[in-house]
Amino acid sequence: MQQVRRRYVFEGNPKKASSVSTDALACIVKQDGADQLSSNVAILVNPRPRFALAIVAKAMFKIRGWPSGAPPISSTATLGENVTIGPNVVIGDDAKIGNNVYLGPNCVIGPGVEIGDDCYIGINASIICSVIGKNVNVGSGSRIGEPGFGITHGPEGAEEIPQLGRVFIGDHVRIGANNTIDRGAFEDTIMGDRCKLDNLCLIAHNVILGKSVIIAGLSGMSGSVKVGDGVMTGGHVGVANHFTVGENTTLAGYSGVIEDVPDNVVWGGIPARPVRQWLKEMAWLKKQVMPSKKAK
Amino acid sequence: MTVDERFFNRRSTPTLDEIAELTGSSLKGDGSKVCEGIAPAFAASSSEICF
Repeated sequence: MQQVRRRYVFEGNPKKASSVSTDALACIVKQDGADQLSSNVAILVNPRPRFALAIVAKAMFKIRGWPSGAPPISSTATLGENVTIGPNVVIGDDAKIGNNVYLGPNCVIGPGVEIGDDCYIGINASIICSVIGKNVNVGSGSRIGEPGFGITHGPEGAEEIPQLGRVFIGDHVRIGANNTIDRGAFEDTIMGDRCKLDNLCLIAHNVILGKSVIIAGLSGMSGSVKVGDGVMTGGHVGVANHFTVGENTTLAGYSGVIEDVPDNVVWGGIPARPVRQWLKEMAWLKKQVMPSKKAK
Repeated sequence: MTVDERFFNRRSTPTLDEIAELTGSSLKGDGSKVCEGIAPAFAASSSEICF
């Protein structure tokens, strides 16, 4: 898997100047970044580029919601054949529900959301700003498409950055109960085909999961993490933002990942490292604390 | 990435001059150009603003 950290923030960092598209209409930068961009790109100099971007985003876009007095199931929603709709289900404008979909009681399907054939959406699940593939199982209470945790500092304190991305979920995906899959900030959050999530996991904004990624309960993938095909994690694993976990790698339970992890390895511990190294270190440490009688 | 209007309503398409005024930024470039979207720095198109 290509070891790439995806950072869309430039903000005048000289090391990132080459990452700014020369086609861009304009770039918001700090003063010290103003001379580093292509002459094709208009420059807006601001001491707080993230905050300025948040202002622009709020001025330009607003998430679609429900008009006052809207019926529970919008007349502009499209329902396939053999759709089961439980009590109190709400479906927004222009949503598209495939054939043989089950929507459990109290589900909320947001405007424009697309759900493929043969999906099961559990009790109290909500899905907004998302496109869901075929044969996807969304557990009860899961939240898909909520805004990611994008915060910056403005002159009056902490401010939210609007999250204008989407969630794309492939086919044959299993999302357990009470999971949270956040939509992207200015990119998309993506789950590949056949990903399987246990209960109580967090997939943050801009995360990309490859195919057949298996994540056990209470695990969290921070923003912009990239996980290769076939990765498996134990429970309670955390991966810090922007890092990459290589293909077919396994992370032991309670791993805390704070660097890129290569393909085809088994890592564990906090900070996560090759599992044999981690176990040796634990054994050595145990000997220091509790020497055996033989060692004495 | 172009903001997906299936999920988001557009409120405005400001010019760069308007964005400069709105954000308190100083502009170097053609302020009459219209901004239609927001994108990551590496993927911004000729109608999109980035940071």
